Amino acid sequence: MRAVGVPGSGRLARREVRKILLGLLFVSPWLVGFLWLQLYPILASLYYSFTDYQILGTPHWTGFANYARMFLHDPLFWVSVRNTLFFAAVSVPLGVVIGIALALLLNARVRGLSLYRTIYYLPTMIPVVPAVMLLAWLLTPSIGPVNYLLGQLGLPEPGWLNDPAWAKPALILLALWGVGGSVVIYLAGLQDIPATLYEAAAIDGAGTWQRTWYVTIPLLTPTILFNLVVGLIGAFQYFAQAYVAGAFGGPLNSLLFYNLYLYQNAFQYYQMGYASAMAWVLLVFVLIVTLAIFRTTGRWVHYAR
Amino acid sequence: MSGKKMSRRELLRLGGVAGGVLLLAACGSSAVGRSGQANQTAGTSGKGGPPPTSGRSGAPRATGPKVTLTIWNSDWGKFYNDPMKKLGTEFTRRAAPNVATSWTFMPNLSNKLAAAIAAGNPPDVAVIDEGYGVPKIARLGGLTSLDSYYSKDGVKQSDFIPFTWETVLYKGKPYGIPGGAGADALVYDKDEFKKAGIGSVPDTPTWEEFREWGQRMTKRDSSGKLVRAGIVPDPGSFFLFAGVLGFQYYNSDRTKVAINSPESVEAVEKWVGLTPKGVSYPEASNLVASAPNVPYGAFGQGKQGIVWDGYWLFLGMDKYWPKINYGLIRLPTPHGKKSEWSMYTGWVWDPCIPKGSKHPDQAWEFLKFGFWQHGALLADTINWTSVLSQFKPFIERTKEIMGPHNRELPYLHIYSEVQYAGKYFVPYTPIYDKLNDSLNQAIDQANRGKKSVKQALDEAAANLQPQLDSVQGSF
Amino acid sequence: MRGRALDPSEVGVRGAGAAARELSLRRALRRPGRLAQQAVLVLVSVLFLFPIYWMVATAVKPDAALFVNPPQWVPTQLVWKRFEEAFTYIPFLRYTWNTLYISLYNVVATVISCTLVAYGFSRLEWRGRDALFFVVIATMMLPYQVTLIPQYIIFSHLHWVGTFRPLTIPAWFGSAFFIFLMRQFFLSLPSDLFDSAKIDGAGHLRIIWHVLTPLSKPVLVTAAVFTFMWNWNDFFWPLIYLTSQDNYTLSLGLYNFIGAVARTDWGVLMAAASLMSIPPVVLFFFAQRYFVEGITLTGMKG
Repeated sequence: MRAVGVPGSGRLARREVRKILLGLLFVSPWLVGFLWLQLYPILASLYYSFTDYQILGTPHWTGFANYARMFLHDPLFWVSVRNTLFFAAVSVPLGVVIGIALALLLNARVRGLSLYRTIYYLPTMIPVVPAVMLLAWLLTPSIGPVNYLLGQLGLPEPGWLNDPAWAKPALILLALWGVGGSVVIYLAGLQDIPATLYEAAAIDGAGTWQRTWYVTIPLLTPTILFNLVVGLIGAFQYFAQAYVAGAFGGPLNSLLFYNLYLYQNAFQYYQMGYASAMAWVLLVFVLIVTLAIFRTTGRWVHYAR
Repeated sequence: MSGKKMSRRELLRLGGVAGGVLLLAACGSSAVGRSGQANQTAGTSGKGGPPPTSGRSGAPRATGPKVTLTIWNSDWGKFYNDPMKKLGTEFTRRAAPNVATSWTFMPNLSNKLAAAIAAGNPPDVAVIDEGYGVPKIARLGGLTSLDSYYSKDGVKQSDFIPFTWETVLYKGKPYGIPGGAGADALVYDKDEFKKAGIGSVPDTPTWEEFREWGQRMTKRDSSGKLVRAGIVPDPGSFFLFAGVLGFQYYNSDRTKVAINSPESVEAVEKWVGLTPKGVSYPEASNLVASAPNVPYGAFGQGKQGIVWDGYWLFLGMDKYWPKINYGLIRLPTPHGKKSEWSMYTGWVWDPCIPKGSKHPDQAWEFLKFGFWQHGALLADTINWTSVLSQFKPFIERTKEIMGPHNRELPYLHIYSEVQYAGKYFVPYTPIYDKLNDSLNQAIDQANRGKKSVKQALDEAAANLQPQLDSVQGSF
Repeated sequence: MRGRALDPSEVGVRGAGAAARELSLRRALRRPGRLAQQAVLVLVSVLFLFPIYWMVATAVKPDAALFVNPPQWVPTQLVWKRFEEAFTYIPFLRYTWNTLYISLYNVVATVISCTLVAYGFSRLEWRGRDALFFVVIATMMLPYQVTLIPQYIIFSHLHWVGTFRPLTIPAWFGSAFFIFLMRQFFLSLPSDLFDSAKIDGAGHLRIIWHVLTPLSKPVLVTAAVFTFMWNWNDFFWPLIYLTSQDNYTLSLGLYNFIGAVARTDWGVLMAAASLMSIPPVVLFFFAQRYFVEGITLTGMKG
């Protein structure tokens, strides 16, 4: 990047230099923030990740000790990984499927489309803390409305946030309540599908299901890709919902998500070095997953335009 | 004792806060009158009661420059926070006219404290409401040793409730002063006990009696649905019973995790065995969770037979369950004998002086005033004093707060005795919070029948031991 | 086009217009599937709206009606005292003000800084511009955890922890996401307007103010609306950086409320939750278009 400000040739016209300086002046807010609050911190946390750093005092170089401990000696780390992967593996695909299903239902000529869209999008407007409170209240065993209805239907009544096996499903329900955001994106994606394709399919005698499966879904794949990546990144950064749900007696460690554990290490155990190592592992993991997804896109994402 | 989970302590506090709101609401303007009166009472009781030492001068001296002590206190909600501030104004009024106090209440205090110390702008005093908050920060080099202050003013370990002392120590030296303490008693519904055919209730039950009551108080309706669970042995409460069950956290020199020693396994088996026969733990736990989320909701609604709590339970009982004819007895001991009271334990929160405090001497004066000389003042914060010689004035004041006809009044001595005698404590090591988490987890697994007690504890110990090894010599 | 449903009849008109095709489409419309479709949509609507209804209903039901089995589906008696209690039990006004301050500060600072930066990345030609812009995009992929701890240490040494500054000052450095959005938008504007302004001798700031911003209202409003929402809802950064009751935001105050009074009182809790949800919901109804547009933009261009 230095090459931008200090051109190697030295034969740049003054005009050119002035242009560069003017450009840099305009982007300087971002540039300063980037250098100060991003680039330096990234490098610093990489350094911390190789140290024993307990906030008071100075970091001591310990090589790969943090990483070794994380992978070999810290079962809680693996608990947090498992919790996070489980959450991602269930909530993201479910969100994609339900999001597409709702968008398809809405996309056809439906009376009151904009009303439905508003209704589906509305839950995403409820802030996290009230939303989790509401979740806990709705899912209260036996007197909450959800369990009451389950009981009436003769279904088992889970302990939800009170039960290690059901706490994550409860949060997955919460995530699905916010599926409206992706419905809007899918709707926009559907709108971009050229009508002529449907027409051609209709000529070939394709029914609704066939049109959906052979025309709509393939052409929606770029949007699916986007939602998948955003959903996964969101799942890997999951924090506030789990943290707040923990206040309602979330059963032991069943809501210990990766970032919750990272937060605990940093701000509760003061293990800044260890937490930094966790952050870097997350970064690398997210990069790998994202790259992997984009690698496979050739096989399933169709760009019609 | 746990730093993070604290569910027990916090839950109890919730009771207090809710009740406190009631007090404030019910008394309306008289609440103000009350606190005014409190000042006086505390004042007189301070003079009347035996001071911890005799070398206390009566009149305040206005010496030194005017300073303001900044105090960070764990956030307990308005009802508790406001009386804590009063501790400051009393200090200014009666001991140090030149020293004012400025309070900030924050949750997760220790999280922010370490950073503030590192950044060089810590408060003058920090009141940390976490089991081992003091040694945790002292270990990082963040606190001022109070050793010389203690010896200068004659403050001694024996002045305090025995089980509180460990929480202020780091490498054998005090880095804080025991603040407000707590211990639990068993709460039962006298009428319901009679209905269940439990005749005589001794002041200190044996473990067997305790378990038996849990069984008898368990009830199913005609359709077989569980409607009352006698006892629910939740993992978070275990530490209160650990002493009487003979549980060991570490070996004697704290080099080995001992939560899976034969004694410890037996202790946890006894704890897990409290779940009434024929009832699964999740069934009982869900039943309790289905009660209104108010203090003693499950107990009050008859969904839970026996509960336990600190002396502040009167606040919640008065507000939510005024009609229940409840009684209090001591926690069980193996044989129900007085000689076994030393196995009791409780918890405490501790004020300390961070390194970098701008006025450490005045800070110490404040600590000494509020948490040693005038421990009885804590009565207004609904926190039991740690200072043994202050118990009497403290109880006097508490009786005034409760009013003359309070149902808890006859039982105050129980808390007093337990705290006087209780010597068991959870030993400190730097991995205390991890150990607590793992132990809770293991108990939960055993409760839910996922693993045997031994297997769960063995696994937890195997995970903890390397962590303990890695911190040997640093505490 | 965007935001409008695909109209099947349009397909026929646009296409070759063969009558047979029209017919098959019409037949498709009449299928009983239509009814099922409406039924599903209504059912899902009920599922989505019920929690919000339940939040408000709980807030206005008397205490006795909260813990009954079966649940009281429709309040038989309304009590409003919980909303008052929410204000007396917790410093609700204080929290609201703090949240509003932080949110609006971020809106103003983000919009200003991002406009300037995006202008620099779009309407100015200079060497290295696109390389640097690639860095902007790259930072969008960065998990915040990687910068969290060093940032905390930086702010802590500046004695900013416990103040609003860690939550406000960074807004002046722009947000990669909105810089990206705005740049795309600015690039799509016709160049002639800028050229003629330049010929008239207008400086860059004048061009931004008089030419750029009036044309870019949609993207600016989108940025403003989302910035407001994110800050209003934010939980993590206040949790990390705010220390005392006095400077709590609603999220943090309400969370703390669980641990204090409210855990014991679902009625008050739901009243407070309803109150906190009002501003975003109102904002949503007024600026729905921008939400949809913003979401769509991110979705399609991402």
